[in-house]
Amino acid sequence: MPDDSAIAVRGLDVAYGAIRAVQGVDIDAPRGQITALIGSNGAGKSSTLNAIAGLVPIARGSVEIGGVDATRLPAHVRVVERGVVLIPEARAVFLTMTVRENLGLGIRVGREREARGHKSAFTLEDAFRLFPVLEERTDKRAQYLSGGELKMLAIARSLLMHPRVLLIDEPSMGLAPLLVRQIFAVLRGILREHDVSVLLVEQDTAVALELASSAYVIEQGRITMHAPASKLRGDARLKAAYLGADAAAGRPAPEDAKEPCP
Amino acid sequence: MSLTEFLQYVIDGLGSGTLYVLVAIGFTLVFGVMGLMNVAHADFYMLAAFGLFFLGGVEGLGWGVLAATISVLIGSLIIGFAMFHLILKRLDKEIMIAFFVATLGVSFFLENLVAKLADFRVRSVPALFTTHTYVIEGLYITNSVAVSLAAALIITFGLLAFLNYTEHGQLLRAVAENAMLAKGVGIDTGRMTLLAVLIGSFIAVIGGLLYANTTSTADPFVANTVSLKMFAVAIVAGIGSVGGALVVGLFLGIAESLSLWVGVRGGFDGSQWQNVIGLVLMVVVLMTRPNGLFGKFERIG
Repeated sequence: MPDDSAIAVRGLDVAYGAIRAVQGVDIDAPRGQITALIGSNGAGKSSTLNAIAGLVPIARGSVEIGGVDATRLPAHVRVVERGVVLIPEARAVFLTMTVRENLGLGIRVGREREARGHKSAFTLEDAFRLFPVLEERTDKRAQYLSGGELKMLAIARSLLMHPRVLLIDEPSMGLAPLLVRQIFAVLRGILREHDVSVLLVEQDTAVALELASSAYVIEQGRITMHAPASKLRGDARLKAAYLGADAAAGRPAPEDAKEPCP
Repeated sequence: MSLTEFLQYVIDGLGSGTLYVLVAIGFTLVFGVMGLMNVAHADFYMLAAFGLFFLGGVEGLGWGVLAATISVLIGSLIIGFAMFHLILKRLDKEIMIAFFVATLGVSFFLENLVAKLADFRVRSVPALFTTHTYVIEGLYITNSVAVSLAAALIITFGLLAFLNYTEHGQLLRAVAENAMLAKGVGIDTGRMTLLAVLIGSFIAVIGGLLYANTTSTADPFVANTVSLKMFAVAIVAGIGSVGGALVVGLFLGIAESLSLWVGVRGGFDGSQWQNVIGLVLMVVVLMTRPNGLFGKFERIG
Protein backbone atom coordinates (compact mmCIF):
# COMPACT_ATOMS: atom_id res chain seq x y z
CA MET A 1 0.00 0.00 0.00
CA PRO A 2 2.50 2.62 -1.13
CA ASP A 3 -0.11 5.38 -0.84
CA ASP A 4 -0.52 4.95 2.88
CA SER A 5 3.13 4.59 3.66
CA ALA A 6 5.19 7.70 4.38
CA ILE A 7 8.41 5.76 4.90
CA ALA A 8 9.05 2.19 3.82
CA VAL A 9 12.40 0.71 4.81
CA ARG A 10 13.29 -2.72 3.40
CA GLY A 11 16.18 -4.93 4.49
CA LEU A 12 18.27 -2.00 5.65
CA ASP A 13 21.89 -2.62 6.58
CA VAL A 14 24.14 0.10 7.93
CA ALA A 15 27.79 -0.65 8.64
CA TYR A 16 30.67 1.41 9.99
CA GLY A 17 33.72 -0.47 8.81
CA ALA A 18 33.43 -3.92 10.32
CA ILE A 19 30.73 -2.88 12.78
CA ARG A 20 27.24 -3.70 11.57
CA ALA A 21 25.01 -1.21 13.32
CA VAL A 22 21.76 -2.08 11.53
CA GLN A 23 20.87 -5.45 10.01
CA GLY A 24 17.91 -6.24 7.80
CA VAL A 25 15.59 -3.63 9.25
CA ASP A 26 12.07 -3.29 7.82
CA ILE A 27 9.94 -0.33 8.86
CA ASP A 28 6.65 1.03 7.59
CA ALA A 29 5.69 4.40 8.95
CA PRO A 30 2.05 5.06 8.02
CA ARG A 31 1.13 8.41 6.59
CA GLY A 32 -0.18 11.01 9.00
CA GLN A 33 0.87 9.11 12.09
CA ILE A 34 3.61 9.14 14.65
CA THR A 35 5.64 5.96 14.61
CA ALA A 36 8.24 5.27 17.26
CA LEU A 37 11.47 3.32 17.05
CA ILE A 38 12.52 2.36 20.54
CA GLY A 39 15.60 0.65 21.80
CA SER A 40 18.47 1.02 24.18
CA ASN A 41 21.67 2.93 23.67
CA GLY A 42 23.61 1.53 20.71
CA ALA A 43 20.73 -0.56 19.37
CA GLY A 44 20.89 1.13 15.96
CA LYS A 45 18.06 3.66 16.29
CA SER A 46 19.98 6.74 15.24
CA SER A 47 21.78 4.86 12.48
CA THR A 48 18.42 3.83 11.03
CA LEU A 49 17.16 7.41 11.20
CA ASN A 50 20.34 8.82 9.67
CA ALA A 51 20.21 6.26 6.87
CA ILE A 52 16.64 7.32 6.05
CA ALA A 53 17.82 10.93 6.00
CA GLY A 54 20.74 9.99 3.73
CA LEU A 55 23.38 11.07 6.23
CA VAL A 56 25.04 7.68 6.57
CA PRO A 57 25.63 5.32 3.65
CA ILE A 58 23.18 2.47 3.16
CA ALA A 59 25.14 -0.78 2.85
CA ARG A 60 22.15 -2.83 1.71
CA GLY A 61 18.39 -2.49 1.42
CA SER A 62 16.14 0.32 0.28
CA VAL A 63 14.32 3.38 1.55
CA GLU A 64 11.08 4.58 -0.02
CA ILE A 65 9.58 7.97 0.77
CA GLY A 66 5.92 8.35 -0.10
CA GLY A 67 6.10 5.21 -2.20
CA VAL A 68 9.03 6.38 -4.34
CA ASP A 69 12.55 4.98 -3.99
CA ALA A 70 15.05 7.35 -2.39
CA THR A 71 17.86 4.93 -1.54
CA ARG A 72 20.49 6.58 -3.72
CA LEU A 73 19.51 10.21 -3.28
CA PRO A 74 22.02 12.52 -1.54
CA ALA A 75 20.83 13.97 1.77
CA HIS A 76 20.20 17.51 0.53
CA VAL A 77 18.08 16.20 -2.36
CA ARG A 78 15.97 14.13 0.06
CA VAL A 79 15.36 17.29 2.05
CA VAL A 80 14.50 19.60 -0.82
CA GLU A 81 12.71 17.23 -3.17
CA ARG A 82 11.18 14.66 -0.82
CA GLY A 83 10.67 16.71 2.31
CA VAL A 84 12.59 14.32 4.55
CA VAL A 85 13.65 16.42 7.52
CA LEU A 86 15.74 15.12 10.40
CA ILE A 87 15.93 16.73 13.83
CA PRO A 88 19.15 15.33 15.28
CA GLU A 89 19.52 14.50 18.94
CA ALA A 90 22.50 16.78 19.52
CA ARG A 91 23.99 19.72 17.66
CA ALA A 92 20.69 20.30 15.91
CA VAL A 93 21.17 24.03 15.35
CA PHE A 94 24.04 26.21 14.16
CA LEU A 95 25.43 27.60 17.40
CA THR A 96 27.49 30.39 15.82
CA MET A 97 24.41 31.76 14.09
CA THR A 98 21.56 33.82 15.47
CA VAL A 99 18.07 32.44 15.99
CA ARG A 100 16.97 34.43 12.96
CA GLU A 101 19.73 32.95 10.78
CA ASN A 102 18.88 29.43 11.89
CA LEU A 103 15.21 29.95 11.07
CA GLY A 104 16.28 31.55 7.77
CA LEU A 105 17.91 28.28 6.73
CA GLY A 106 14.56 26.56 7.25
CA ILE A 107 12.67 29.25 5.33
CA ARG A 108 15.15 28.87 2.47
CA VAL A 109 14.29 25.18 2.10
CA GLY A 110 10.59 25.98 2.48
CA ARG A 111 10.85 28.43 -0.42
CA GLU A 112 12.64 25.90 -2.59
CA ARG A 113 10.02 23.28 -1.81
CA GLU A 114 7.24 25.71 -2.55
CA ALA A 115 8.85 26.42 -5.92
CA ARG A 116 8.58 22.68 -6.55
CA GLY A 117 4.87 22.80 -5.75
CA HIS A 118 4.83 21.54 -2.16
CA LYS A 119 2.43 23.88 -0.42
CA SER A 120 2.48 24.38 3.26
CA ALA A 121 1.07 27.16 5.34
CA PHE A 122 3.54 27.02 8.21
CA THR A 123 5.12 30.46 8.41
CA LEU A 124 7.55 32.34 10.60
CA GLU A 125 4.57 33.87 12.43
CA ASP A 126 3.30 30.37 13.18
CA ALA A 127 6.72 29.45 14.49
CA PHE A 128 6.75 32.47 16.80
CA ARG A 129 3.18 31.75 17.93
CA LEU A 130 4.21 28.20 18.71
CA PHE A 131 7.40 29.19 20.52
CA PRO A 132 7.13 32.85 21.61
CA VAL A 133 10.51 32.64 23.32
CA LEU A 134 12.19 32.40 19.90
CA GLU A 135 10.79 35.76 18.88
CA GLU A 136 12.25 37.34 22.02
CA ARG A 137 15.63 35.87 21.14
CA THR A 138 15.74 36.45 17.37
CA ASP A 139 19.04 38.28 17.34
CA LYS A 140 20.74 36.13 19.96
CA ARG A 141 23.39 33.66 18.94
CA ALA A 142 22.07 30.14 19.41
CA GLN A 143 25.00 29.28 21.68
CA TYR A 144 23.38 31.45 24.36
CA LEU A 145 20.07 29.55 24.32
CA SER A 146 19.02 26.98 26.90
CA GLY A 147 18.64 23.32 26.02
CA GLY A 148 14.87 23.61 25.72
CA GLU A 149 15.12 26.71 23.55
CA LEU A 150 17.60 24.94 21.25
CA LYS A 151 15.14 22.09 20.84
CA MET A 152 12.33 24.52 20.03
CA LEU A 153 14.54 26.30 17.52
CA ALA A 154 15.36 23.00 15.80
CA ILE A 155 11.68 22.03 15.65
CA ALA A 156 10.62 25.46 14.36
CA ARG A 157 13.30 25.40 11.66
CA SER A 158 12.27 21.90 10.63
CA LEU A 159 8.59 22.84 10.31
CA LEU A 160 9.53 25.86 8.18
CA MET A 161 11.16 23.43 5.76
CA HIS A 162 7.69 22.14 4.76
CA PRO A 163 8.45 18.54 5.67
CA ARG A 164 6.46 15.53 4.48
CA VAL A 165 8.33 13.26 6.82
CA LEU A 166 9.85 14.33 10.11
CA LEU A 167 12.55 12.15 11.63
CA ILE A 168 13.02 13.12 15.27
CA ASP A 169 15.95 11.73 17.23
CA GLU A 170 15.33 11.55 21.00
CA PRO A 171 12.81 14.38 21.42
CA SER A 172 12.77 13.87 25.19
CA MET A 173 16.55 14.10 25.61
CA GLY A 174 17.44 17.04 27.81
CA LEU A 175 13.87 18.30 28.08
CA ALA A 176 11.51 18.32 31.03
CA PRO A 177 8.81 15.68 30.49
CA LEU A 178 6.12 18.34 30.85
CA LEU A 179 7.72 20.38 28.07
CA VAL A 180 7.92 17.32 25.81
CA ARG A 181 4.19 16.75 26.31
CA GLN A 182 3.40 20.41 25.63
CA ILE A 183 5.50 20.49 22.47
CA PHE A 184 3.91 17.31 21.13
CA ALA A 185 0.40 18.48 22.00
CA VAL A 186 0.97 21.46 19.71
CA LEU A 187 2.95 19.43 17.20
CA ARG A 188 0.13 16.91 16.74
CA GLY A 189 -2.20 19.62 15.52
CA ILE A 190 0.39 20.95 13.09
CA LEU A 191 1.25 17.49 11.81
CA ARG A 192 -2.42 16.75 11.09
CA GLU A 193 -3.04 20.13 9.50
CA HIS A 194 0.00 19.89 7.22
CA ASP A 195 -0.11 16.16 6.57
CA VAL A 196 3.28 15.43 8.10
CA SER A 197 4.26 11.91 9.15
CA VAL A 198 6.72 11.31 11.95
CA LEU A 199 9.22 8.62 12.76
CA LEU A 200 10.74 9.24 16.15
CA VAL A 201 13.49 7.49 17.97
CA GLU A 202 13.32 7.25 21.74
CA GLN A 203 15.24 5.68 24.53
CA ASP A 204 12.50 6.56 26.97
CA THR A 205 9.95 3.86 26.19
CA ALA A 206 7.17 5.43 28.26
CA VAL A 207 7.46 8.75 26.42
CA ALA A 208 7.63 7.07 23.03
CA LEU A 209 4.54 4.92 23.62
CA GLU A 210 2.64 7.93 24.87
CA LEU A 211 3.41 9.99 21.76
CA ALA A 212 3.25 7.37 19.03
CA SER A 213 0.40 5.33 17.63
CA SER A 214 2.63 2.36 16.85
CA ALA A 215 6.15 1.35 17.66
CA TYR A 216 9.03 -0.81 16.55
CA VAL A 217 11.52 -2.20 19.02
CA ILE A 218 15.10 -2.49 17.83
CA GLU A 219 17.71 -4.58 19.61
CA GLN A 220 21.31 -4.98 18.48
CA GLY A 221 20.51 -3.69 15.03
CA ARG A 222 17.44 -5.86 14.41
CA ILE A 223 13.72 -5.22 14.77
CA THR A 224 12.39 -7.55 17.43
CA MET A 225 8.84 -6.26 17.93
CA HIS A 226 6.26 -4.22 16.10
CA ALA A 227 2.82 -3.43 17.50
CA PRO A 228 0.34 -0.63 18.18
CA ALA A 229 1.52 1.55 21.05
CA SER A 230 -1.54 0.70 23.13
CA LYS A 231 -0.61 -2.96 23.04
CA LEU A 232 3.07 -2.36 23.80
CA ARG A 233 2.24 -0.22 26.84
CA GLY A 234 1.27 -3.33 28.77
CA ASP A 235 3.87 -5.64 27.27
CA ALA A 236 5.79 -7.54 29.92
CA ARG A 237 8.70 -8.35 27.62
CA LEU A 238 9.22 -4.67 26.82
CA LYS A 239 9.08 -3.78 30.49
CA ALA A 240 11.61 -6.44 31.23
CA ALA A 241 13.96 -5.13 28.56
CA TYR A 242 13.71 -1.47 29.45
CA LEU A 243 13.00 -1.26 33.12
CA GLY A 244 16.12 -3.13 34.08
CA ALA A 245 14.56 -6.50 34.78
CA ASP A 246 17.12 -8.18 32.52
CA ALA A 247 19.72 -8.88 35.12
CA ALA A 248 17.16 -10.24 37.53
CA ALA A 249 15.91 -12.61 34.87
CA GLY A 250 19.46 -13.76 34.25
CA ARG A 251 19.41 -12.63 30.63
CA PRO A 252 22.35 -10.62 29.29
CA ALA A 253 21.49 -6.96 29.03
CA PRO A 254 21.31 -5.48 25.53
CA GLU A 255 24.75 -4.64 24.27
CA ASP A 256 25.71 -1.16 25.31
CA ALA A 257 28.16 -0.42 22.52
CA LYS A 258 28.20 3.25 21.62
CA GLU A 259 26.85 4.00 18.20
CA PRO A 260 29.19 6.07 16.07
CA CYS A 261 27.69 9.52 16.31
CA PRO A 262 27.97 11.13 12.92
CA MET B 1 68.22 55.73 14.89
CA SER B 2 65.07 57.52 14.38
CA LEU B 3 61.38 57.03 14.33
CA THR B 4 61.48 57.45 10.57
CA GLU B 5 63.84 54.52 10.19
CA PHE B 6 61.63 52.34 12.39
CA LEU B 7 58.51 53.32 10.45
CA GLN B 8 60.28 52.57 7.19
CA TYR B 9 60.77 48.98 8.33
CA VAL B 10 57.15 48.82 9.38
CA ILE B 11 56.03 49.97 5.95
CA ASP B 12 58.27 47.46 4.21
CA GLY B 13 56.82 44.81 6.50
CA LEU B 14 53.29 45.78 5.55
CA GLY B 15 54.22 45.11 1.94
CA SER B 16 55.16 41.49 2.57
CA GLY B 17 52.46 41.09 5.23
CA THR B 18 49.70 41.82 2.73
CA LEU B 19 51.02 39.05 0.52
CA TYR B 20 50.86 36.60 3.42
CA VAL B 21 47.30 37.73 4.10
CA LEU B 22 46.18 37.05 0.54
CA VAL B 23 47.47 33.48 0.52
CA ALA B 24 46.27 32.73 4.04
CA ILE B 25 42.64 33.81 3.78
CA GLY B 26 41.79 31.44 0.94
CA PHE B 27 43.61 28.62 2.70
CA THR B 28 41.83 29.25 5.98
CA LEU B 29 38.45 29.56 4.24
CA VAL B 30 38.81 26.19 2.52
CA PHE B 31 40.24 24.64 5.69
CA GLY B 32 37.24 25.97 7.62
CA VAL B 33 34.67 24.70 5.15
CA MET B 34 36.22 21.30 4.42
CA GLY B 35 37.90 20.71 7.75
CA LEU B 36 40.96 19.74 5.77
CA MET B 37 44.00 21.58 4.52
CA ASN B 38 44.91 21.96 0.91
CA VAL B 39 48.70 21.97 1.03
CA ALA B 40 48.85 22.90 -2.65
CA HIS B 41 47.11 26.21 -2.02
CA ALA B 42 50.36 28.22 -1.90
CA ASP B 43 51.22 27.02 -5.40
CA PHE B 44 48.76 29.55 -6.77
CA TYR B 45 51.54 32.11 -6.11
CA MET B 46 53.85 30.18 -8.39
CA LEU B 47 51.10 29.66 -10.99
CA ALA B 48 50.24 33.37 -11.04
CA ALA B 49 53.86 34.39 -11.51
CA PHE B 50 54.46 31.89 -14.32
CA GLY B 51 51.14 32.81 -15.87
CA LEU B 52 52.53 36.31 -16.21
CA PHE B 53 55.83 34.98 -17.49
CA PHE B 54 54.53 32.48 -20.05
CA LEU B 55 51.50 34.42 -21.26
CA GLY B 56 52.51 38.04 -20.87
CA GLY B 57 56.30 38.20 -21.12
CA VAL B 58 58.35 38.57 -24.31
CA GLU B 59 59.98 35.21 -23.59
CA GLY B 60 56.53 33.63 -23.57
CA LEU B 61 53.52 34.20 -25.76
CA GLY B 62 53.82 37.95 -25.46
CA TRP B 63 50.15 38.71 -24.90
CA GLY B 64 50.97 41.69 -22.79
CA VAL B 65 50.44 42.21 -19.07
CA LEU B 66 46.74 43.01 -19.10
CA ALA B 67 45.70 39.96 -21.14
CA ALA B 68 48.01 37.77 -19.06
CA THR B 69 46.57 39.10 -15.80
CA ILE B 70 43.00 38.47 -16.91
CA SER B 71 43.96 34.99 -18.11
CA VAL B 72 45.59 34.21 -14.76
CA LEU B 73 42.48 35.33 -12.88
CA ILE B 74 40.21 33.18 -15.06
CA GLY B 75 42.76 30.38 -15.06
CA SER B 76 42.69 30.26 -11.25
CA LEU B 77 38.99 29.42 -11.37
CA ILE B 78 39.60 26.68 -13.94
CA ILE B 79 42.45 25.19 -11.91
CA GLY B 80 40.45 25.46 -8.69
CA PHE B 81 37.52 23.74 -10.41
CA ALA B 82 39.76 20.96 -11.73
CA MET B 83 41.50 20.53 -8.37
CA PHE B 84 38.12 20.15 -6.66
CA HIS B 85 36.63 17.68 -9.13
CA LEU B 86 39.76 15.62 -9.81
CA ILE B 87 41.14 15.43 -6.30
CA LEU B 88 39.55 17.21 -3.34
CA LYS B 89 36.01 15.80 -3.62
CA ARG B 90 37.22 12.27 -4.31
CA LEU B 91 39.14 11.86 -1.08
CA ASP B 92 37.68 10.35 2.04
CA LYS B 93 37.42 13.24 4.48
CA GLU B 94 37.77 10.91 7.42
CA ILE B 95 41.33 10.05 6.43
CA MET B 96 43.20 13.27 7.03
CA ILE B 97 46.59 11.91 6.05
CA ALA B 98 45.28 10.86 2.62
CA PHE B 99 44.17 14.41 2.00
CA PHE B 100 47.48 15.80 3.16
CA VAL B 101 49.53 13.45 1.01
CA ALA B 102 47.34 13.88 -2.06
CA THR B 103 47.48 17.67 -2.00
CA LEU B 104 51.21 17.52 -1.29
CA GLY B 105 51.48 15.36 -4.41
CA VAL B 106 49.57 17.94 -6.43
CA SER B 107 51.96 20.57 -5.14
CA PHE B 108 55.08 18.59 -6.15
CA PHE B 109 53.58 17.81 -9.52
CA LEU B 110 52.68 21.41 -10.33
CA GLU B 111 55.98 22.82 -9.09
CA ASN B 112 58.12 20.39 -11.02
CA LEU B 113 56.02 20.61 -14.14
CA VAL B 114 56.35 24.38 -14.18
CA ALA B 115 60.03 24.18 -13.22
CA LYS B 116 60.64 21.89 -16.20
CA LEU B 117 58.80 24.24 -18.53
CA ALA B 118 60.89 27.10 -17.17
CA ASP B 119 64.18 25.16 -17.48
CA PHE B 120 64.53 25.08 -13.71
CA ARG B 121 65.33 28.75 -13.53
CA VAL B 122 63.92 31.70 -11.71
CA ARG B 123 62.49 33.94 -14.42
CA SER B 124 61.79 37.62 -14.48
CA VAL B 125 58.23 38.68 -15.07
CA PRO B 126 56.83 41.80 -16.69
CA ALA B 127 55.67 44.44 -14.21
CA LEU B 128 51.94 44.91 -13.67
CA PHE B 129 52.44 48.64 -13.41
CA THR B 130 55.35 51.06 -13.30
CA THR B 131 56.69 51.36 -9.80
CA HIS B 132 56.75 54.81 -8.29
CA THR B 133 58.27 55.67 -4.99
CA TYR B 134 56.77 58.50 -3.02
CA VAL B 135 58.68 60.24 -0.30
CA ILE B 136 56.41 61.37 2.49
CA GLU B 137 57.97 62.89 5.59
CA GLY B 138 61.18 61.08 4.80
CA LEU B 139 59.44 57.71 4.36
CA TYR B 140 59.75 55.82 1.11
CA ILE B 141 56.43 54.39 0.06
CA THR B 142 56.08 52.54 -3.21
CA ASN B 143 52.83 52.33 -5.07
CA SER B 144 53.14 48.53 -5.13
CA VAL B 145 53.00 48.43 -1.32
CA ALA B 146 50.01 50.76 -1.40
CA VAL B 147 48.24 48.63 -4.02
CA SER B 148 48.97 45.39 -2.11
CA LEU B 149 47.70 46.85 1.12
CA ALA B 150 44.57 48.19 -0.53
CA ALA B 151 43.96 44.81 -2.20
CA ALA B 152 44.37 42.93 1.08
CA LEU B 153 42.01 45.25 2.94
CA ILE B 154 39.35 45.32 0.23
CA ILE B 155 39.45 41.55 -0.28
CA THR B 156 39.39 40.72 3.43
CA PHE B 157 36.51 43.03 4.28
CA GLY B 158 34.71 42.09 1.08
CA LEU B 159 34.97 38.41 1.97
CA LEU B 160 33.80 39.08 5.53
CA ALA B 161 30.79 40.99 4.20
CA PHE B 162 30.05 38.16 1.79
CA LEU B 163 30.22 35.54 4.54
CA ASN B 164 28.12 37.51 7.01
CA TYR B 165 25.55 39.26 4.87
CA THR B 166 24.76 37.07 1.84
CA GLU B 167 22.83 33.84 1.60
CA HIS B 168 25.71 31.92 0.05
CA GLY B 169 27.99 33.29 2.75
CA GLN B 170 25.63 31.96 5.39
CA LEU B 171 25.54 28.56 3.69
CA LEU B 172 29.36 28.47 3.70
CA ARG B 173 29.36 29.28 7.42
CA ALA B 174 26.81 26.53 7.99
CA VAL B 175 28.98 23.92 6.27
CA ALA B 176 32.04 25.11 8.19
CA GLU B 177 30.30 24.83 11.55
CA ASN B 178 28.54 21.50 11.06
CA ALA B 179 28.65 19.78 7.68
CA MET B 180 26.31 16.99 8.72
CA LEU B 181 23.63 19.37 9.91
CA ALA B 182 24.19 21.50 6.80
CA LYS B 183 23.25 18.50 4.64
CA GLY B 184 20.26 17.96 6.88
CA VAL B 185 18.97 21.46 6.16
CA GLY B 186 19.20 20.85 2.44
CA ILE B 187 22.58 22.42 1.70
CA ASP B 188 24.61 20.87 -1.10
CA THR B 189 27.88 20.72 0.83
CA GLY B 190 29.87 19.66 -2.23
CA ARG B 191 28.78 22.76 -4.11
CA MET B 192 29.65 24.95 -1.14
CA THR B 193 33.11 23.39 -0.91
CA LEU B 194 33.65 24.11 -4.60
CA LEU B 195 32.59 27.71 -3.99
CA ALA B 196 35.12 28.03 -1.16
CA VAL B 197 37.88 26.53 -3.35
CA LEU B 198 37.07 28.92 -6.21
CA ILE B 199 37.05 31.96 -3.92
CA GLY B 200 40.31 30.84 -2.30
CA SER B 201 42.02 30.21 -5.66
CA PHE B 202 40.94 33.56 -7.04
CA ILE B 203 42.18 35.48 -4.00
CA ALA B 204 45.44 33.51 -3.98
CA VAL B 205 46.33 34.39 -7.57
CA ILE B 206 45.66 38.04 -6.85
CA GLY B 207 48.24 37.69 -4.07
CA GLY B 208 50.50 35.78 -6.46
CA LEU B 209 50.29 38.48 -9.13
CA LEU B 210 51.16 41.17 -6.60
CA TYR B 211 53.96 39.04 -5.18
CA ALA B 212 55.42 38.53 -8.67
CA ASN B 213 55.08 42.25 -9.29
CA THR B 214 56.86 43.13 -6.06
CA THR B 215 59.73 40.71 -6.60
CA SER B 216 59.72 40.91 -10.42
CA THR B 217 60.45 37.20 -10.45
CA ALA B 218 58.76 33.88 -11.04
CA ASP B 219 60.26 31.13 -8.91
CA PRO B 220 58.94 27.58 -9.42
CA PHE B 221 59.52 26.77 -5.77
CA VAL B 222 58.28 29.97 -4.20
CA ALA B 223 55.57 27.93 -2.43
CA ASN B 224 58.22 26.50 -0.12
CA THR B 225 58.50 29.82 1.69
CA VAL B 226 54.98 31.06 1.00
CA SER B 227 53.30 27.96 2.40
CA LEU B 228 55.32 28.28 5.59
CA LYS B 229 53.90 31.77 6.15
CA MET B 230 50.46 30.56 5.08
CA PHE B 231 50.38 27.82 7.73
CA ALA B 232 51.77 30.15 10.38
CA VAL B 233 49.25 32.92 9.68
CA ALA B 234 46.22 30.62 9.40
CA ILE B 235 47.09 28.64 12.51
CA VAL B 236 48.06 31.61 14.67
CA ALA B 237 44.91 33.46 13.61
CA GLY B 238 42.75 30.39 14.13
CA ILE B 239 41.46 28.17 11.35
CA GLY B 240 38.53 29.76 9.57
CA SER B 241 39.22 33.26 10.84
CA VAL B 242 39.43 35.55 7.81
CA GLY B 243 39.68 38.76 9.82
CA GLY B 244 42.28 37.12 12.06
CA ALA B 245 44.36 36.19 9.02
CA LEU B 246 44.47 39.86 8.05
CA VAL B 247 45.70 40.95 11.47
CA VAL B 248 48.20 38.12 11.91
CA GLY B 249 49.45 38.30 8.29
CA LEU B 250 50.24 42.00 8.59
CA PHE B 251 51.76 41.48 12.02
CA LEU B 252 54.03 38.71 10.72
CA GLY B 253 55.19 40.85 7.80
CA ILE B 254 56.01 43.72 10.14
CA ALA B 255 57.72 41.46 12.69
CA GLU B 256 59.91 39.94 9.99
CA SER B 257 60.87 43.33 8.70
CA LEU B 258 61.68 44.56 12.18
CA SER B 259 64.01 41.59 12.65
CA LEU B 260 66.11 43.15 9.89
CA TRP B 261 66.01 46.44 11.70
CA VAL B 262 67.08 44.84 14.96
CA GLY B 263 69.89 43.16 13.03
CA VAL B 264 71.04 46.48 11.61
CA ARG B 265 70.98 48.10 15.03
CA GLY B 266 72.59 45.16 16.77
CA GLY B 267 75.20 44.47 14.14
CA PHE B 268 74.07 41.01 12.99
CA ASP B 269 72.33 39.63 9.94
CA GLY B 270 68.63 39.86 10.83
CA SER B 271 67.52 38.20 7.60
CA GLN B 272 68.62 34.85 9.02
CA TRP B 273 65.98 35.23 11.70
CA GLN B 274 63.15 36.26 9.42
CA ASN B 275 61.72 32.84 8.70
CA VAL B 276 62.04 31.76 12.30
CA ILE B 277 59.56 34.33 13.57
CA GLY B 278 56.49 32.79 12.01
CA LEU B 279 57.39 29.33 13.28
CA VAL B 280 58.12 30.51 16.80
CA LEU B 281 54.84 32.42 16.81
CA MET B 282 53.05 29.30 15.64
CA VAL B 283 54.53 27.08 18.34
CA VAL B 284 53.88 29.59 21.11
CA VAL B 285 50.27 30.12 20.06
CA LEU B 286 49.62 26.41 19.63
CA MET B 287 50.92 25.79 23.14
CA THR B 288 48.82 28.50 24.74
CA ARG B 289 45.75 28.83 22.53
CA PRO B 290 45.38 25.70 20.37
CA ASN B 291 42.45 27.18 18.46
CA GLY B 292 44.44 30.26 17.48
CA LEU B 293 44.09 33.85 18.57
CA PHE B 294 40.80 34.54 16.82
CA GLY B 295 39.81 30.97 16.22
CA LYS B 296 36.92 29.04 17.43
CA PHE B 297 37.29 26.07 15.16
CA GLU B 298 34.13 25.30 13.25
CA ARG B 299 33.56 28.91 12.53
CA ILE B 300 34.48 30.95 9.50
CA GLY B 301 34.26 34.66 9.00
